[in-house]
This record gives sequence, structure tokens and C-alpha cells, in this order.
Amino acid sequence: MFRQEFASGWQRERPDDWLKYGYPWEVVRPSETVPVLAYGRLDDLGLPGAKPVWVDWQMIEGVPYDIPVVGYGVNNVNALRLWQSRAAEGFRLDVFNQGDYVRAVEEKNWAETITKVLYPSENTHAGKELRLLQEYFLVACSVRDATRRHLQHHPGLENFAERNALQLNDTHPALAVAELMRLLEDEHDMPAERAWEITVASLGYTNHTLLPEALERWPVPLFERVLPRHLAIIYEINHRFLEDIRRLHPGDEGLVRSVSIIEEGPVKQVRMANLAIAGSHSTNGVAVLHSNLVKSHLVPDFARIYPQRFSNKTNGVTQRRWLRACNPGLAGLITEAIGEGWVRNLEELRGLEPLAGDDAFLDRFLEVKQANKRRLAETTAALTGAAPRADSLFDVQIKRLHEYKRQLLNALHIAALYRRVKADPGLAVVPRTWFFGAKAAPGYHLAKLIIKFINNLGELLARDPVTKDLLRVVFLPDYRVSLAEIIIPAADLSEQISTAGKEASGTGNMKLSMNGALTIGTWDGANIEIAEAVGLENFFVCGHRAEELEAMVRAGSYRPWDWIARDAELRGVVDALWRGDFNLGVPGLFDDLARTLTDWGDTYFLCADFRSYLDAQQRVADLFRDRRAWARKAVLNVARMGWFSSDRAVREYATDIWGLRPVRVAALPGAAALPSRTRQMTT
Amino acid sequence: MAPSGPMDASVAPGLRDQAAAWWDANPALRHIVVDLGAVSFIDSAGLGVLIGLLKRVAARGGDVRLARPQSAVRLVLEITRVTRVFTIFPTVEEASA
Repeated sequence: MFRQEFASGWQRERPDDWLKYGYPWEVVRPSETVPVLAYGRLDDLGLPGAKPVWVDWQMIEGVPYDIPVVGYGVNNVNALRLWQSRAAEGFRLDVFNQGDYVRAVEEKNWAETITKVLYPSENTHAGKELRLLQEYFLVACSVRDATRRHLQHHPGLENFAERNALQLNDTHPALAVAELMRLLEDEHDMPAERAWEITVASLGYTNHTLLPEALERWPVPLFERVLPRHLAIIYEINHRFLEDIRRLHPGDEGLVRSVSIIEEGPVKQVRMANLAIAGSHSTNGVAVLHSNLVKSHLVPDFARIYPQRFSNKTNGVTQRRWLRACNPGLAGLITEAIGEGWVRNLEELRGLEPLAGDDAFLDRFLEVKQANKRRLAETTAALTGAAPRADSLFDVQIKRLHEYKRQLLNALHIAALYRRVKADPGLAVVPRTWFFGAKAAPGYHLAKLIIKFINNLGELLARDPVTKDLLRVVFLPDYRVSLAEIIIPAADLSEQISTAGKEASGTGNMKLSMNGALTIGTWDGANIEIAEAVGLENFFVCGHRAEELEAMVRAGSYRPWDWIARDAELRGVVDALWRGDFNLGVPGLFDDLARTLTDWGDTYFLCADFRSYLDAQQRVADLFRDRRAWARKAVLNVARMGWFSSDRAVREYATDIWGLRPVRVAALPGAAALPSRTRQMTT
Repeated sequence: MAPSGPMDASVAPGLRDQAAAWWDANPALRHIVVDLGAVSFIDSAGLGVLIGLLKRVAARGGDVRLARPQSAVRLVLEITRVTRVFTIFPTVEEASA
């Protein structure tokens, strides 16, 4: 990722050198360095009967760095193992010895480039190749590490799956399927059939997106150049897998084409999602709706042939960071009311429910919120030079900038309110400050244009004497976890307005609700489960549902112009966009935004949801005028968020996918005598 | 043969030529034992020397046996699957038997 700055309202990317000053928690383990081979080709050496060997490869080394992850109130510490790439010993030493120092250093740098930055998925061909190499490097190091540890305690890898669980977090590490197969077959002489059984039993796959463009595919020529042996293994896997499919579903060539790991076409592609699903015993989505859509829309044929492999594991967030640490005021109030059991068992928050009817508690709850809002106002002033009114409604949308997340819909609401106030300066409007935090992918033109649009709106509102004390827009630069920890406790309203059917889960929605923000949200991702948990009367639902949008798409009946024609306020905003009312003097600046809403078909249904969203925003404003009524709903949100703890989510993964049971770890003798802050580290 | 130190691109051309000349100069030889005990590192160029040697020896109907590879070298032999074309022995004596 990059450090985000704004220049004249435009996003500018700057390098994020997070290791510039070192990182005190990491412990390098050079003795556990592993070799990683890539490139080259397979050669049968012209020897009769010989199996091809891998020649002309290049070797990179993976150096492990461990970061301790300390459990809360327990006696064990886990290690998060990160890997750094470096040139292997003897790397291009010949070139160096021949006096071509520059080339030698270039090649050394190339090896170190692999883990220099996280490569974005969309990029030039060279970027793509580095991303594939990066994915492979990290997979190869981790699989090698897991098998090495196993072999320290067992004579072989025959029982690897009984003692190890590898979870593929999206398709990025899906190469683990081929790498584990390679390791079992090539290095441990295991028959392919048995290697496949162990691989499938060891691996699980979590899908994180329904956007088809986000499902990785690698062109076969590129894959073959970087990972020749792995491509051969994938062909073998696919051959056996499709033979099984043909045997079980004779004559269904459509099914075979759909589930094949190799996609045929002018340039063959390796489908990483298919590799991950075929090569693992479990596939899950991260919210109920998302998991259902994975089965019904994303990979319906896999769901048909392996129904028992699919499940849901709704995401969760840790209350230790996202409530106790980031919101000490609210955490203290909760603990005072119900004790501190909620820190370990978030379901205990349910004990707050009766207090939603206690005016004295509600007033204290509001005081905590107000203090948090003052803190955010101070941070905002420090970062942007402008301090928002702490008594205004803090309306928060913090998430990656993507069209489907619809920051633009939020901005259209701001534009509409601006136009209302300008048309009627005496209009009674609830004072509101919109907070945005979002980074756009560097090559994503429309996302960057939306950032510029929001910043222009902010400037217009701040300049205009009619709105400057009433409506403010703040785009906080360089949104990141440490900023989220200040924003989230201060939020009154949580914007979760993705196009229904597009957001896998969301976790910001959980963090905000857990900190007493009310949600305005579409029927999407984990919003649905949050709304059901906190009660629909305590949640502002808006927008069309996924099945309604799908019906319009299927019938070919969605025409944004129809929705614009029917709604005078929407028409007014779109016309203003075309007219350049928000351009601050730059002609045609936001024409592409107007085009996305009209000529380009409004892919994300902003026009269809505009009225419903604005109506819900009106209900938000009406409720906010009654502070205690607002606080009552906010307290009920907090009280009913117990299920959204990551403790519950991790427990479900452990029980249902990894086959793990909790184990109590005893303290080491003498550990209790140490100061409590160091005791966990030493055990 | 008993090479030592890193068997990499910096020494591979010389080693290849030396091994080839020696093999050609001894037409009665059928088998070679390569003692890898003192080889600390091998890259694809070093492996290429062994493979080139194997092709020459196989053409004469013989065999190349590898002895005593250090663990880092052995791992590379396993990753690249050359353990399928070479036989590996724990000692030079066993390889020579």
C-alpha cells in the first residue's frame, strides 16, 4: 500500500516505508531460511524412461521474521511469521566476478524486490509477473515451514493433514495446492493420488469477493515461464479431477468446462478460485448472504458437485482492539455497568439491554460519545486545519474506495442537501459533518475522481456562508487502522451502502455498531445479520435487495434515465454534475461521474437507490434531534453485537474447518513472579 | 570427483570443461561417484554440470552416483527432482560399491 496525500483534492500516492525506523517486535530467524526456486523449464534429459527434471531455475531465499502475537489473558504467545526475499548465496557471482557490478547488483535487487511491496492485482505485465512470483514465494516459504515443523515431530508427511490446517485467505495463496502437491510428490516420493488426498484434507479456502474481476486468473504462458513444474502439476491435477467429474456426471461437458482449473480460450488461463475449491476440503463465504451467493452465483457447479464442502463463517472483529482499546470511555462505562466479562465473552454485552431504558445511563453514554467526537474534531483540525462542530451529526464512511461501496451515493446525498439549503436558506437542517476515509487503487480513475468530487463538495460547503456552519465534509488523508481507532468511537452514523449483493461481509459495519453508531445500510453482506441482531427498528435500511437488482438485470429493464426522469431531486443533482456546479472552475471535471450514472449504465444502481437512501437519511436526521431516543437505539446496538466478535468467528473456523479443540496452556513456573506486562512474552 | 565450496555459476564452466576432458581422456571408465560432502551450495549452473556429466556417462552406458550431499544441497536435488535420475548415497564407500 501507499501513504495517501491530497493535492488540490486529488489523491497522491507516496511510498509507505514502514520499516524506515526498524520494527522492534520482529525477530529474524536466519537459521530457518528456506530456498525457493522459480523460472526455468522441465527437461527429460533425453534419457529413456527418465521423469523430467527442473533445470535452469533461479533460486531466491526466504528469511523468516517472527512477530509475537500475544493472547489476551492467557499463557501463550503465537508467532506471525513474515518472509523477506533475498538473493541466494552465489547469486550471479559470476557476473560480479567478471566486473559487471551494476548487473550483479541489479539482479540482487531483483531478488529483494519480490517482498519489497505488496503488488497490486491490476497492473502492467511486469507487475503481474512480480505479483505471481510474490504469491508463489510466500506460499513456498509457508508450506516449507509447515512441513519442516511437522517433520520435527513425525517421521513423514503421511499424517500431515491430521496435524496441520492451511487456510487460503482468498485466492492469492491458492498456489499452495500445487506447492503442497509438488512437495509431497517430488520431495517425499508420495504417489499422486495419496498426495492429493493429503492436500485436499489439509487445505480450506475462504472466498472474500463476488466481483468476478477480482477472481485471479493467470495466463498459462506466463505461469509456465515462472512456475514450469507447478503448471505441470496443475495439468495433472486437472486431468484427474475432470476424469472424476466425467465419471460421476457422464455427458455433462458444460459442467466439465465450468469447473476446469484451466480455462480454454485464445490464451489459456489458470483459474485460481477453481484450483482453491478443487484442492481443498472446505470453501466458505464470510456472511450468510455472501456464502449463499457464492453457491448460487459465483461457483454454482462446484456447489452442485461438492455441496458438503460449502459453509458460511460470518466475519467478526476483536472487541479488545475495537472497543476496549480504542474506546476507553465506552469500555469503562460498560464495565462499570455489567463487569468486564464482555472483554472475553462479547455476548455478555446483552446485559446492557435494560439500561437502554435508563435515562441516566443514556446521558452518560452520550457524554462518552461527545468526548470521542471532540477528540476526532481535534485530530481533524490537526490533519486538515479545519475543526468540525462536535455537536453536529458525525456521519462516517470509512472503507476502500470502490464504485460498489458507493461513496458516490453518499456524495450525491450531500450534493442534494446542499442544493436544498441553497434553494431555501431557512430550511431546518440537522448540522452534519461527513467523514470520509478511503484509499483508491492508484490506477483506478473513477475512484480517484470520486475522491476529488468529495473534496470539491467539502470546499464548496466550507466556502459558502449558507452552509459553512451547518454542513461540513472532511476527507481524512491516509486512512488506516490507527486513524480508524479515533474515528470509530466518535461516529454517530455508519454508512454501509454497498450495492446489494456486492459486499462480501464488511467488518467496519461491526466495529462502528459495536461503538454505538447507528447504521444506514443496504441489505448486503453482514449488514443483514447486524440488522437482524440489533433489530430492524434500530437500523436504517435502504436500497433495493440483491434479488430485486438481479431481476432488473435479467430482464434488461434497468435504465438509469427512467429513475432520473421520475425523481426531480436526482435529476437536479445529475444536471448539476453535467453543468459543472461542483467543478470549482474546471470545465468537464466530473463528466465521467455523470456518465457512470447515465450513459455508462449505472452499473452499481445509484439512481435506483437514490430516493430510498435519501428517505432513510431523513429518518436519521429526524431521530438525531431527539438525543435520548438516538442514544437508546445506540445502546441497543452495542448490547446486541456480541455475536460479531472474532472470538466466535475463529471458534467456528477451528471447530468446523480445522478440527481443533481449545487447549489450556499452563504458565511456566516462576512466570507469575514477573511483572504482568512481561509475563505473557516470556511464556 | 570431489568438488568443494559453492558449485555455482562462477565455477560451473571450468568444472564442466574439466570433468568433460577427464571423462573423454578415460574411455575405460563406466561410472562416476561425485562426492558432494564439501559442496556448500548448488545453483542451477552447478546442477547443470552434474546433468551434463550424467548425459555423457549415460551415453557410455554408465551411471553417476552422488554421495554425501549436505542438507541444503540435497534439498535442491529433491526440489528439482534430479533424485529421480541420480542415485544418492550417504557415503562414498556405498556409492562406490
